[in-house]
Amino acid sequence: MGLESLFAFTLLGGVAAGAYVFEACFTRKRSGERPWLLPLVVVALFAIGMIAASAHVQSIPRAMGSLTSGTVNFGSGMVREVAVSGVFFVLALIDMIVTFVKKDSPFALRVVTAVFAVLCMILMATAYIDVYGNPVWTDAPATVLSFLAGDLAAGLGLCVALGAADLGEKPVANTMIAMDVVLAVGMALEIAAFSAAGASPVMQIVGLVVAPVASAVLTLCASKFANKQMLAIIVCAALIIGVAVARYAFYATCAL
Amino acid sequence: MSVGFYLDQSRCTGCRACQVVCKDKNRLEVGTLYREAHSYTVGEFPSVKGFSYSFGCNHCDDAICLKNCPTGAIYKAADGTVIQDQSKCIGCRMCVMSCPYGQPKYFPEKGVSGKCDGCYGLRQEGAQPACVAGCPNRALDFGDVDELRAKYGSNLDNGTIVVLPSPEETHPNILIKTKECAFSEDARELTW
Amino acid sequence: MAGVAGLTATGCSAESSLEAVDKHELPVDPAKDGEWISAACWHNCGGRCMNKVMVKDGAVVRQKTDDTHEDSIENPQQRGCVRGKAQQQQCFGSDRILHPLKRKGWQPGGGEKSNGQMRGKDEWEVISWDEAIKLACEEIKRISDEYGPTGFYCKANNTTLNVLSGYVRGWDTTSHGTYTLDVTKMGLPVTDCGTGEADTSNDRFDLENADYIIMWSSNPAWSAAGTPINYWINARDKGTKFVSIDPLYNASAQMLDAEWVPVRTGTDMALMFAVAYEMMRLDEEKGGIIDWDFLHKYTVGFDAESMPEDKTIDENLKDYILGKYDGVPKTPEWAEPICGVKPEQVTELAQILSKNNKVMILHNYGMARCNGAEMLPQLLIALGAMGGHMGKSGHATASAYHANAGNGGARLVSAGSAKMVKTSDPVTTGVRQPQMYEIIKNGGGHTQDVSNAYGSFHEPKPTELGPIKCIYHMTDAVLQTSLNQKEGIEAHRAVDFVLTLAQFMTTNARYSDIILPVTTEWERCGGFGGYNNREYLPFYTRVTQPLGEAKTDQEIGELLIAGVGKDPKLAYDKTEDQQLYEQIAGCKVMGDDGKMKTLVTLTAEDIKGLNAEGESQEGIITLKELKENGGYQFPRKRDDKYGHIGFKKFVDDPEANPLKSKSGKLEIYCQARYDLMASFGFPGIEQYKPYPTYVVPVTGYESTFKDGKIGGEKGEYPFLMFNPHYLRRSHTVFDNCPWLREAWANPVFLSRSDAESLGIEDGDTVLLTSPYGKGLRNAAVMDVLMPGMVGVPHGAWVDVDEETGIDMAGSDNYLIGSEYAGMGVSGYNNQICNVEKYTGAPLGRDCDKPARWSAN
Ligand SMILES: Nc1nc2c(c(=O)[nH]1)N[C@H]1C(S)=C(S)[C@@H](COP(=O)(O)OP(=O)(O)OC[C@H]3O[C@@H](n4cnc5c(=O)[nH]c(N)nc54)[C@H](O)[C@@H]3O)O[C@H]1N2
Ligand SMILES: Nc1nc2c(c(=O)[nH]1)N[C@H]1C(S)=C(S)[C@@H](COP(=O)(O)OP(=O)(O)OC[C@H]3O[C@@H](n4cnc5c(=O)[nH]c(N)nc54)[C@H](O)[C@@H]3O)O[C@H]1N2
Ligand code: SF4
Ligand code: SF4
Ligand code: SF4
Ligand code: SF4
Ligand code: SF4
Ligand SMILES: [Mo]
Repeated sequence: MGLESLFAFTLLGGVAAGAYVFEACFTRKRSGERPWLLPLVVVALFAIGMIAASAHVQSIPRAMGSLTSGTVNFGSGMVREVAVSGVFFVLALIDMIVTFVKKDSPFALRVVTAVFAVLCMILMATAYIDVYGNPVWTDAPATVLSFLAGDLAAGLGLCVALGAADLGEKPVANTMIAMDVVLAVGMALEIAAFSAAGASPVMQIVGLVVAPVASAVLTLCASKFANKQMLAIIVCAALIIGVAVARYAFYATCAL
Repeated sequence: MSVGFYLDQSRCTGCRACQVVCKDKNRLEVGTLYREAHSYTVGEFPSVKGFSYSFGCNHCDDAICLKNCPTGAIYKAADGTVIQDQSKCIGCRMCVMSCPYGQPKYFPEKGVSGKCDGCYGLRQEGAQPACVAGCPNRALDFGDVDELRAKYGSNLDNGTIVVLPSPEETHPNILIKTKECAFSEDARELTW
Repeated sequence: MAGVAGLTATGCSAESSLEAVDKHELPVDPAKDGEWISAACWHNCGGRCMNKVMVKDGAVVRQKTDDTHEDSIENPQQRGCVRGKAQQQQCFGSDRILHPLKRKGWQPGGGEKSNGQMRGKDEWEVISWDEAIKLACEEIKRISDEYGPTGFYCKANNTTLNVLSGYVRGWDTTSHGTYTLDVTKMGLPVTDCGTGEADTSNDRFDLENADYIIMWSSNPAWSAAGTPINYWINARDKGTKFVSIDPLYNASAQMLDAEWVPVRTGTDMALMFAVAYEMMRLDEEKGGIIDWDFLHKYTVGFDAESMPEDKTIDENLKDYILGKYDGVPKTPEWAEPICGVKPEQVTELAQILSKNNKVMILHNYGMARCNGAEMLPQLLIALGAMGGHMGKSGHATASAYHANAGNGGARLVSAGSAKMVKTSDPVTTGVRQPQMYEIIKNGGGHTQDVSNAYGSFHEPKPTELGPIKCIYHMTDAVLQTSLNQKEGIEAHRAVDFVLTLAQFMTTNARYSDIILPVTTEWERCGGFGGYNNREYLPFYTRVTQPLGEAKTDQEIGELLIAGVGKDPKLAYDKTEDQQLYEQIAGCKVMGDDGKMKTLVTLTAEDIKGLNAEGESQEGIITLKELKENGGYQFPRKRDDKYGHIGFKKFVDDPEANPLKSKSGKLEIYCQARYDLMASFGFPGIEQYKPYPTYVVPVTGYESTFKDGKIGGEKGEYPFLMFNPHYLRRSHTVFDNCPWLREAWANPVFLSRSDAESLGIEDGDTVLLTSPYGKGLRNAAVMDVLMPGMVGVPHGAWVDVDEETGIDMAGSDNYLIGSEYAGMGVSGYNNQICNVEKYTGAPLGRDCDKPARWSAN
């Protein structure tokens, strides 16, 4: 597969990691009927992302071969990304199982997992900033900010949609607005990077309007909506779709 | 230690013999080029100047293809040649995407990438790289960069001509005896 | 966790480089242990280089070029060009014809049975050699019985055909254009090139002694690929300045940073007159420009003082240029509307040509392959003589052609030739090639027979030809390389039988009925190849056994001759092995005493190994050395005694060493050459004089205007088309090689200003229309082409869309017709055409298209 697999990985995995982080921020203790829901969704999305990512690799046996013959290049962004992703995935999986069994899991475990989630999101972005063949990717502030803020904002949207956080609460709403602002800055930087590289920034503009702008407007007008559940889902959808559109365009700048 | 190419623009006619010789040595089908020559002109009729350049892998000091290769398939030989071991390649194309010189090439049917190895095997047999030996105009050379500098003079460009990306990214081992017009921002490709 | 720990290290330092030794094996040469064989590169390509192929496990796995000795400018390696490097894709191409083929719809017997309209469209069936020879010979005998030897046509001279049936020949001015019109009569050597001792150009080491080299219609980087351009580079590095007079700022000129004088094709005569005018003006004003002594001592006809004895009119070049006869002085301002050269540049050229500069005018023949260029050779030599530029070191007025470009003089090493039984064609009639097709279509007709071989003209013999019913294609690509291709295709469809010997589905083969598969040189016993330069004699040997059922030309000839019941020995009295031996035995090398000596030592065992009979001999190298080195290169030194200066003997002592002209001098007024031309009885001779005058060409720049007058309204075909010899091919050869199709896209050359005004961008598909045909090509929009000019690379394999009649390949000759005027020159370079953006589907890249035909 071409770059679609990487797109799927950084989008699904990124959103999952973002959601995990915010759940840890906003709910110190898991409760309710389905405490395992968010960990489950996170693990599922991340797993799909990793499967998609492995489709990018043409030969798993050769990948294994590089492990056994000791040539693996830990200096490469991709290996770091995979390694941290793997750690995050394992921790998230343990967390999910513990939660299944005990209806909650130790906060310390969740914090460590969240730290790996953040690292994971950062590495997903930094893996591209020294891909010198692509001037859009190597625009480091734009790439890192739009990836990280996109993952976090969409992750928060997912938390909200899954009921792991409540947009009606001030801290959550404020965080959402803050994330939208950062994401908007990131996407604005992307628009500039696209233009500088001679690529059309149209999809980045669409992403900007659909994700941070729309979700911020909806969040600010939250009181006007009767159906909070529906609002949360719409905010989540807007963020994921907007980020997806922009990120697809990001990958499409590569001729491959 | 670093090895790299020398190109003399005052001798290069853009004849593309190096391009075909490289395909021969590496048995490359149409669509894949490890080396390719292009010609450019500067100015407008009737005041025009022209230059040609033969693009290839520069066996960079900071080879980003190597840096970004997850499996370590790309490595440096002791002499500095940047070589890829295809048996370790997982076809992730990070090298292809990373190289600002568009160098490693991906083979979709084989699911692996490939690149110029500076004809390492030929050099071990005492021969020059195929493209160097095949250039009818003696515009190309290959070797230890310090030796090349000693041979061709220190007044060589390290890859700042207008048709190349900035050498600051990967510190390519390319030494160019330039034509003045090769620095003009108005250069246009001559597609004859 | 390593990944985490290393997170901050985003730079790519050597720490990330992996040690090769313990983790990876280093590459080895995959072709190691194969065998290197000297392989033929035998085409009419402009070079003669060393080509070696590595054969491993029966397959060619790699090629290389000369690495037999250290490379130096004194003793250069004979490195090959881009085409030679793809030679394997020619010999082993998927489109090799491996078995005799018969066109399905064809039956012997003529008329309806031949189903001629299907030529080029029909399917092919594989037949046996027995059947192929039987069918062909039956048909040849039938035609021979009914129509006699003039019932056949073949362009090239051919031993097999001389014995088989006889045939009417076609003649053409191809390579040297108007230089083929017997320039010996005015004192130049035959076709002024590669003539050895008589070469008018100097030895290569003398190039650097010139202050200026004027490359007139000359692009050695493309048309003399291989070694020659290195001599020019050497001169440039030693300080010689280059000037390029060409519609295209070509690859050689660009690389050499030559000063460019853009000129319209086919208008060089106007420019030359103006330069001569300026030389006279400057000489008059400040003196020191014209070498009057030279003119008076070595030439006749420049001025009234120096007229030849056999003159019939009292006119001379000088007074013509000054306007004495027509009231029109040939000033730069007069010339500019014609040739497009700015008057300042004309003046500059006149100054450069001053007798006080060391100048070499080195020309190729593109400008002589133009309508109206009949008198160009005479005007060019006059220009050189005005500055005294010949016979001295640093001076020359000469051609720079083919493998000899920039390296004149007698061969220092040469191949022998096999003495074979002499055969001759029972038919002596030659037809001007482009007219041939009309005669064939009309079932015969009148021809003014003035020549039946390249460059050898004779008093005209008016001849009535009967029907021609059979076309033979033996060793040329005439249907592709001659003018009037569209009519040529029609002619091929009109006859009873077309027989072609071919290695590939060439255009000749495609429009024929039976194709007999010929081996390439890689499948034969070996040889030397023609056209070698004076210092290097390439020698090649067999690379592989014949592919498929291919046979050599001789084997096929023998089968055909036997097939009609004659004795093959009438044409071939020696085996190919014996012939090769004789060629080797006859190789000569220059000795210290200036005499040619035997090159190769041959022992009795060597001769046996060659499957030949002969006497052993003593030479300076062994047969093994000849084979392993891929020939012999004569070692040169800058100041050795093997230099050469063109015209030197004549200039040193004109009485003792007269030229071949009647007066023994260079004839700027040449009655004999004029008389020869006049005798042809071709229309338009009224425009010509025994000295050079401006002639309005039948087709040329003037024809781009509605009323034929320069400066008026542009006509239907406003562009001038020319055919650069292109680096993808040697004429038609190599056009099928994928690597070359990828490397050289074969676009149409358009100037930026024309493209912009036509709304054409680089890469757009363009429709070319001439009065004769239509073709498609992608546009190469360039700043290095003079506006108004259109370059259509020579030799692309025609690919006619039978629905639309448009040629998808951009074949040059599909756009050119047959002009029955002028003195018979094939005017490739001043044809007219129109250019427009094509509205149909874009053409795509040639290299992405399947081969014309494939054996698999
Ligand atoms: N419009 C236009 N036309 C031109 C020119 C131009 O500039 N413009 N240039 C002209 C010039 S200068 C020339 S010299 C002519 C060249 O015209 P040609 O001589 O007709 O051209 P080639 O393509 O060299 O043809 C050689 C043919 O011989 C075949 N061949 C090679 N080896 C063998 C062999 O061993 N046996 C047999 N039987 N066949 C073999 C090749 O496959 C090829 O088909 O073209 C002329 N035509
Ligand atoms: N690559 C390649 N090399 C070849 C051949 C080939 O087919 N391909 N064929 C070989 C053969 S047989 C021949 S005859 C030679 C031909 O060799 P050349 O005669 O050198 O070939 P051309 O490319 O036709 O012309 C050379 C230059 O003349 C310019 N020119 C064309 N018309 C005019 C004109 O009217 N006036 C002036 N001043 N310049 C003009 C062209 O732009 C070109 O730059 O090449 C030989 N070498
Ligand atoms: S072979 Fe030599 S002259 Fe030709 S394009 Fe390559 S470097 Fe330039
Ligand atoms: S040119 Fe590209 S492929 Fe070659 S060493 Fe440098 S970064 Fe690697
Ligand atoms: S494609 Fe192969 S060589 Fe290139 S980075 Fe991936 S594994 Fe390494
Ligand atoms: S060194 Fe060898 S592999 Fe590299 S460009 Fe030259 S011919 Fe190709
Ligand atoms: S110039 Fe001619 S002989 Fe030399 S390599 Fe090219 S095609 Fe072969
Ligand atoms: Mo020719």
